[in-house]
Amino acid sequence: MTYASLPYVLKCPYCDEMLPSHKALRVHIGTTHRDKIDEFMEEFFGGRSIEVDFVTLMLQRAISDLTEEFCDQCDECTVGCPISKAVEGFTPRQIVAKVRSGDVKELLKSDIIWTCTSCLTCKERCPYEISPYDIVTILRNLSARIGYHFPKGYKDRDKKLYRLGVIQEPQTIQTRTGERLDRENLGLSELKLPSDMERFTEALNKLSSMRVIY
Amino acid sequence: MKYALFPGCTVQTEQYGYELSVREALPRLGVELVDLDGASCCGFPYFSAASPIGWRYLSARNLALAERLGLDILPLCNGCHLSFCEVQRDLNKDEELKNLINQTLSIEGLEYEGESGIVHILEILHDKIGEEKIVEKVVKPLKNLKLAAHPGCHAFRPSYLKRPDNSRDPKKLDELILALGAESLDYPEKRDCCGFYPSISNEKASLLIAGSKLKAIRDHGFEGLVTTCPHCFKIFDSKQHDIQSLTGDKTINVPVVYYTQLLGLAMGIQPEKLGIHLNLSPVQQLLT
Repeated sequence: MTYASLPYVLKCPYCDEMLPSHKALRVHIGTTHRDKIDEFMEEFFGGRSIEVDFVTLMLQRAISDLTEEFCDQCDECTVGCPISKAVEGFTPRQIVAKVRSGDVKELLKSDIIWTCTSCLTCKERCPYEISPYDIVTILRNLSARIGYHFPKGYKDRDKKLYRLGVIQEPQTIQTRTGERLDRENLGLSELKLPSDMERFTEALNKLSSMRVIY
Repeated sequence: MKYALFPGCTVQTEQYGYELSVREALPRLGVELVDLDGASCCGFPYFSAASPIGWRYLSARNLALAERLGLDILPLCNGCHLSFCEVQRDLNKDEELKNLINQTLSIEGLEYEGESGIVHILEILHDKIGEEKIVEKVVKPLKNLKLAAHPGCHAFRPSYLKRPDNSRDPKKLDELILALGAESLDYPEKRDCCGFYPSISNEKASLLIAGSKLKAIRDHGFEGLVTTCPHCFKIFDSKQHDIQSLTGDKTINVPVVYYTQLLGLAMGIQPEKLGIHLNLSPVQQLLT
């Protein structure tokens, strides 16, 4: 039986509202009591370095929610992982082991977590339905939030997204024979991007600034 | 058959051959494509890394735009398709998340109810149009061509979500290739990843992964690789020189095409209209 299937309700510590799950509670606090989170973080953790301990706990909880029978390091995930074959020092099995032992800080700072191809093979192969892919995704998110590491390519694309609605401007491309062509030359119409970028950005900012851990 | 076309960032800003061939070939098979005005990035994988909730917002926003038109959405990219399917699942099972997203969508006057379906190009071609109708439209069968199908990971994984093809034995793309008169054989590396995603943070890893798949395809005697995913296409088509330099293997020289380009050729459409001249791999080998 997984922990997630147990019936329970949780009470919000700030307004006594009852919530059906940890996730719902996190969303509720992140949206309704954001100021409380800021106070809490300031009071108990003071600075960013300690925030890592907090997110480690969050991560451990997220993972133990997944299944009672935790990873026995059978290596099925690593056998199917394309990155493990191409890059020394990356195996999904080791990542799960490090997270399980609470040794997350080094992972968060390392660029290893950014080499995953998102092929989802590990998730398919795990006999215990643990997903190294999802763990890597959480680690990436935490690393980016804490400000440890967020690859430049990601940063640049996200900046463009805020400005244009898409991750890059339409490019002028080169053919095999060296001719340079753009959408217009090829008879393709102009992009119909979000018309009101001010509102588009406002909406994204509103959500992205929430302290919601998903 | 009428769909809201969602080319996605990569297709509409650089993979013009895919967009051209989709717009040329699909209408001839009875598919009406409606542009999705105001569409944005789906949020995966770049925005999702920084803000999981912002990612869900972006995908929901595009689904809401399709919903406003009363149409199912047709993303051309495997990544966008997976992103939409995941977000649709999350919003449908989590009322609170849906409310939060809808509160934010109202800033742009939008609302997500989950009424639009999400379709993949393989589903349209294989399940809705069908091989028989495609065979009827073929005027120039691609005889004596042995081609490798590369559906791309997210066309068949993860199996717990509804994906366009079977995760253990994806073969829709193979069958679509056969419908054009070409040969398509199963091969052990078919489900292997293209390696595209880490190209941003670790290009060498990407090139090694793509290179090993291209090498396998060459060793099996295939004359080309066929895909429907712009990311897989991008690394296989445009990075073969880099793969050659990195691995020292100068014999990797595999023509790479979008299925819709191949379909258009078999239907007798001029190569230029299908953007064949934009493919950087040696596709002229396939045209003769």
